Amino acid sequence: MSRVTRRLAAGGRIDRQRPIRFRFEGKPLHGYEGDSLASALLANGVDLAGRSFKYHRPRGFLAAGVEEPNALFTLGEGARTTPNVAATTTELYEGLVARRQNAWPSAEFDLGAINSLLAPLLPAGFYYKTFMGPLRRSWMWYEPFIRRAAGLGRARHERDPDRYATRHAHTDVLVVGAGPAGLAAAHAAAAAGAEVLLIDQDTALGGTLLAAPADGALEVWRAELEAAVRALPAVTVQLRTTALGVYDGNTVALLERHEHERPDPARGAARETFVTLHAAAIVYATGAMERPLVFGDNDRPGIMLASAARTYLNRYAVELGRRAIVATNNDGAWQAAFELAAAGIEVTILDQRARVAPALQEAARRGGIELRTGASIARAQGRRAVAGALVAEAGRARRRRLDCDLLCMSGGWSPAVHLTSHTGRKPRYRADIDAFVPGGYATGHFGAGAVGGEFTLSAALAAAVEAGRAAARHCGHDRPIDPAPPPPLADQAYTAEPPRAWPRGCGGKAFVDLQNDVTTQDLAIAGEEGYVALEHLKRYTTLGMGTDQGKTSNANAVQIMAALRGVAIGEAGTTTFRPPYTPVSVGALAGRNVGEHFRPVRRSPLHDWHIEHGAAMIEAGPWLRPWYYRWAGADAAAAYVEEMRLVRSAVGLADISSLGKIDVQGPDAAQFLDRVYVNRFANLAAGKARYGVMLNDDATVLDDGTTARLSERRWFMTTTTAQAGEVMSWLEFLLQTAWQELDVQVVSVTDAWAAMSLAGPRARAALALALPQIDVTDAALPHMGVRECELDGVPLRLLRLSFSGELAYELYVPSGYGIALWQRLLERAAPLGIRPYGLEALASLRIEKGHVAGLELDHRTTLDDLGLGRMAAPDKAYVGRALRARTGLQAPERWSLVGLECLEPAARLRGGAILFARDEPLAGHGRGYVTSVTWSAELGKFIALGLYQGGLRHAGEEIVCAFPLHEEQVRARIVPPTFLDPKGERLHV
Amino acid sequence: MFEQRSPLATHLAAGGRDGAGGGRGLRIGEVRGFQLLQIGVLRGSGAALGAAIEAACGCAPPDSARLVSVCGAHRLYRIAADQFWIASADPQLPPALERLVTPQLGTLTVLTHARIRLAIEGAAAAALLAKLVTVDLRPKALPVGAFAQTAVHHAGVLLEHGGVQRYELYVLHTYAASTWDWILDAAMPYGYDLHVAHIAQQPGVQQRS
Repeated sequence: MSRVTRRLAAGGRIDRQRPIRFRFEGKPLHGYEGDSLASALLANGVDLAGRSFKYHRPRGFLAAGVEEPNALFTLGEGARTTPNVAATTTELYEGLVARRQNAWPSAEFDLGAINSLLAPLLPAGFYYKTFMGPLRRSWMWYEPFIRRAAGLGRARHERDPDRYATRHAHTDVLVVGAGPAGLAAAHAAAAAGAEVLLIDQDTALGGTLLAAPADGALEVWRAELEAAVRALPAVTVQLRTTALGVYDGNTVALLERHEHERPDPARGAARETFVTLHAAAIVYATGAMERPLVFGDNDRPGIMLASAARTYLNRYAVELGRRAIVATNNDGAWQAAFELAAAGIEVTILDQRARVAPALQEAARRGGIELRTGASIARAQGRRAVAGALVAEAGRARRRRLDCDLLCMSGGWSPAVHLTSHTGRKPRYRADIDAFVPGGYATGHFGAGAVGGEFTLSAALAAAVEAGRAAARHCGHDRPIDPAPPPPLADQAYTAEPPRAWPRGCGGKAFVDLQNDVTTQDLAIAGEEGYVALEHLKRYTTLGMGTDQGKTSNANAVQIMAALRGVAIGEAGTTTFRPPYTPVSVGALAGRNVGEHFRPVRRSPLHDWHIEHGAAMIEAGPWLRPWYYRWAGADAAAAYVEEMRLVRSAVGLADISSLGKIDVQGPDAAQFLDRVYVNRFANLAAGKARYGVMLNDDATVLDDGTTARLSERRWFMTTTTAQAGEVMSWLEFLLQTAWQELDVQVVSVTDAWAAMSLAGPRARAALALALPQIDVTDAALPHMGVRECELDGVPLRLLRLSFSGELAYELYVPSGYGIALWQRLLERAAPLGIRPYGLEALASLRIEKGHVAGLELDHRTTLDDLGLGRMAAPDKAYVGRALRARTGLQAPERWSLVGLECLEPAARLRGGAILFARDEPLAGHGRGYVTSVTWSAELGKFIALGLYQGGLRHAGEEIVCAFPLHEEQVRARIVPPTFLDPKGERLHV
Repeated sequence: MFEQRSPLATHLAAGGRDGAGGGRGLRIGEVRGFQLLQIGVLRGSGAALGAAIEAACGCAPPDSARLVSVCGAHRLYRIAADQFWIASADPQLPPALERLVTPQLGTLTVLTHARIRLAIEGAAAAALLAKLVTVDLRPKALPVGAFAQTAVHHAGVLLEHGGVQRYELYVLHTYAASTWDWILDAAMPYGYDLHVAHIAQQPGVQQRS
């Protein structure tokens, strides 16, 4: 690494009073506030940015902005490591750590460079051809080696310790880009009365103006323009903010970078913020990017875009060389040549055009610049750094060599049409400026400046003012405006011409896409093999892929392919631009939705009690529910069996607050429920509850639950935990679309009521102890009876029904009083041995009873599959009735509900086990599967519910439950699914 | 006597924390002591139901689905074409409405325990809200006195712009603790104090503790 300094003694937009220390490849270096990492490295004499993707060729810095294909570094250390970051867009900050990537043992001496020697074996699409065989899956074997040999930086596996935020924002007018056009558009829109958000990915306002001399007339004007914009209170300026993508509804994805603030995650500060912006109108002032020229060995360090050289010189005060060639095909690069010459650098301009504006030629002469028109570069000279160029000149057969240590090039300018293309509008080619411009704008979208092909300052400003006013008008603002400060210089028309010929066989490699090492030769091969469409070309050669997404290569590729095909450039087409415009970290996309905030957690109103009493909790959908309680055992396997015993022998209390609860009211509520459920509800008396099943349109079971009639017009529906939201949406959908004639209101009251199940042979006694003022005798509260009462002034709903098969009651109390009621039940019924039981026991008790639940109600089973067909009322309409009769749903061989008893005392059944007939081969999908399984303390064996082909027609048969993951096969017998108390006598003790 | 308990009871004990800049730019707390009722309009009874609501609250139900109607201790929200919320500090409102809103006129559902009411106030309140909801918070879109139904971290909420630099959220009881954690996590950079506000039973008065 060179230790020279190339920092000019004065000038630039860096703050020399604020030096910044950073480390590069382990060595300490310093720059200044205002530097980019790229400028600081160049100032420190670092020309070698790294090695190329495929051939491991030495590469330097091509650009000074987001289009940079070469200078990608790995930043940070340890868990904060971020690979593939462009040095040209990295703001230098104290303590920054950077290193090169994709080279071993070092970028200076990289063994991977042997790939260059193998280049003839590695043309476009070589891996498609070379690694297809000899076996069908050979690619799987080759792939890791190829990936290791190529590629960029490596990501780390540690958890990222930084925080990332997301937020929403709204504005009238979004102006993307704060160059001269963006500033003028923002000024015009705000002056017209609109609220404006002006964003720019850079650290300062000005765009291309920042590349002009910091002490010139343009800078004075830029400062005036900035001041005028900032003086408008309606304008909000956000720097270090990139528009990543434009989506429907004028939604724009923005990325804000805060790295320069050294955010402290412990204090909540975010490294990056992903902003979802909603704008009424959008002005694109995204500017244009300079294109490279394509010639032999055009990738040598020291070869860069003319605009980049100008930026490094004027903005960062870096002298890149002493002897420069500026090669161009357009007017744009001449200014760079003038400014390089003014800085004392010996400059030669090579312009491929035979005719150049006299004013430019005169200015070159005044600057002491050697000028050659009709001249272009055939091949660069030098290996680790550019040392000269072979120049082809019109009318001269022999190529002339020119020495240089800096080669600036300009192949024309490409408007940054990426964002406008996100709306589905393909760019169109304009021959007069040799560039693709937006193929139109969506409603409320406007273009300002170079993005629309306006490459002169005066034209860009005129377009920008109109765009700003039009955007404001789109938002309903049309005040007369005072013009922004006019530019100090009169400019002249911009002219350019396409390259006359594309090099092939010029010696050396002529790169089109530097990031992916795609050459003109690769494009020619692709064309010869039929990959002439740009989309095919991209996928065959990888051109336009990677972190830069072909910002410097796409336009050249289109022109080359057009030439190869012999068609006009506009007919060659373009690739599709997709978000993101620049790379975005996954952390920013995830925002705060990580770790414990990955998704919201739903907690029962009794949650705090469970935690305070040591319950083991388990996630059940969005809910966090008590799995089991420590009183019953140290682990789930022991505890749930003990809790089941409690319920079967005494009395237990379970939290069932997660059940869906829906208030159904209105004069047509009974009719509504009759239509929703397969069974009849209209004839249910007030004060009674009934179990019901509802179907989807296609006759599969949607959900089941118990609904109570509280009064003539009021019902209290309960749903399963899993389907609560879906049922609520379904009811609203039916009322708002299919059955608008019904006068019914439905309200979710799931959150309004805490719910608990008191179950066991001593349940009535426990209730009587806890609620002595309420008559809970069998006469007052019979099975499926409902009571609404008050307890200490608090409403209480009592439903006598059972999920476990035991005498049981469900108690509903306003959520805020849930813990109070729960504690009262436990305290007052303590003499009866009452204890809480958890979800595992709750689910296991119902298996013994043969009650279906979510695992059986999977939206594939029908009423008949579950053995509930007789519930359906034959003389009324209900959702799913028509399709229930489909032949396929009535087929006798459908998978239907069965009970399973384990026949091997030392074995266990497993949920998900595949069911096979006893003597058939254990292969394929079998004849069914186990849906729910438990150890039955009552029966002393594993039992299960399952779906089996033909269902209970096979009752008594021995089958095999196979669990391939554990290579288990267990014998079981098909039995009726109700293992316990089939007559329901326990419900009536 | 049953004791009522908030799902945020243990969360509010934390007190607060300083932000990235060392200050506390927010006051975040729970507002307690309110009744919340949902009223549904039955077909053909809109006018009569409106009269009943006006008789109970002192003002007619709002036509706007955007602006809150405030009548003394009562706040009325039109949450759908045929549904209203009434939040009130008056404990006598539910029985009064039960008398007036007959089953022939409309439906009445008590949601007092279904929602937890949070207040966020301070200079950074809007900035914090922007990290929580998709709603356009600009004063011209959500002026003081306006409300919106939206979601915080996937859970539905009703957001009210309660005053300059003050917002209130009605969050679901069972999501309250999760939503609370999410809000405080977002509020870390600004710093915050935590508090509980009890709405006094007199109309329009709040006491803080």
